[in-house]
Amino acid sequence: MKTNKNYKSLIYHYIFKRTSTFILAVVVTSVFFERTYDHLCEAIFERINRGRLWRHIKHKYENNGDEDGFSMPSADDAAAD
Amino acid sequence: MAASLGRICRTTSLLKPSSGPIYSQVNNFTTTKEWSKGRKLLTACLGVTAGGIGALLFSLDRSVRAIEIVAHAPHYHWPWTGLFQSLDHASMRRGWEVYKNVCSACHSLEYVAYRHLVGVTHTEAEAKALAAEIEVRDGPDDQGNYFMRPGKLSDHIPSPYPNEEAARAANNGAYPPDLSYIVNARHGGEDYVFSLLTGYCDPPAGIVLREGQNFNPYFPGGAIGMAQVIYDEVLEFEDGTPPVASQVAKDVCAFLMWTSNHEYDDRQVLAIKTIGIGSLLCALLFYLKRFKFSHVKNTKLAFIPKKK
Repeated sequence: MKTNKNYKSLIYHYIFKRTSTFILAVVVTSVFFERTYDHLCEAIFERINRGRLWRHIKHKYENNGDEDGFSMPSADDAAAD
Repeated sequence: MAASLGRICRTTSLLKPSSGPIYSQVNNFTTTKEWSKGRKLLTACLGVTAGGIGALLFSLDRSVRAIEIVAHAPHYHWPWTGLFQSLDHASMRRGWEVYKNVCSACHSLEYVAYRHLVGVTHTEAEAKALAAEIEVRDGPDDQGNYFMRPGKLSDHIPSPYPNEEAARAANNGAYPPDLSYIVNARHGGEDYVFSLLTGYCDPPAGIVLREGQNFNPYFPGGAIGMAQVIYDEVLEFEDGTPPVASQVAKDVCAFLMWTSNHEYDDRQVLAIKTIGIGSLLCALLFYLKRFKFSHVKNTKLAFIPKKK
């Protein structure tokens, strides 16, 4: 209980007390939250549609492309990383 | 309800202050009390008319639509039917083969460029190779002359006819529509396209077709300029899928669904995101409402007069 109270007072002291730190916390949290959430949703989407999306079938057609140096990072690749 | 009843029947007994504290408040706040009898009657008539017309339109839309002489396409369960289902990209790749080998003889696809195929149905190298097969008129060069060059990724799919008049002249006066947005442009969408492609049959007795026309029950009017083109083994798929007529029609529908809705997969991902965030916010708002109202609901007001 004591540690819990310390923890809360620390959060209050360093984050909520001043508007500047509060806004900073909001911005930083939203950046990380959005990244995590987007990845999570993409993962769910890929799980539902396994085998149907281009990134699941492209390995069949890509062999020649890699030798020519054509493997341009597309939007799909960026999302899959 | 009581207020509108009172408005129509002009019985104010329901709204009398003696009916209780709630009705007395309604009676105090309502502004229709000062309305003339005619105005109240007009308002009531307008409301009834609007509701009646709405109900009529709704029931007409729900009816079987037997007045049109056209067969309505049944609803098929497509790979992309559903809230979170994506398009089937292997099917779309076969659909592109069907378009290229069959449909492109008459139909244009002018709003699709080769670059759109990259990362959707083809790799970049494949799309470049496809584009290089066509000749594009470009220019002017240094001398001011126009010249032909091999296609690039940025070029659009070439049309079979230079303009609509040429297309009509070559097809008995019937214009083969551009297929880029055909799924969105027709009632029934992909179901209609599939039924049309696979629904050719002999005309029933009494239907007279002119020269160059064919009968298709799914086409409004029945007489269609396009002949049946989708048969079993009309082409060979490169991935070895058996090219039966229904498979060919399904794949071209998948491809045309994508040309009409390039953003379809993004929309399905967005549905997941929206429903997730929405349910989170819903739970938060529900808690917040309970939290705020706990004060209101637990507050007791008491009037304690001073004792003399």
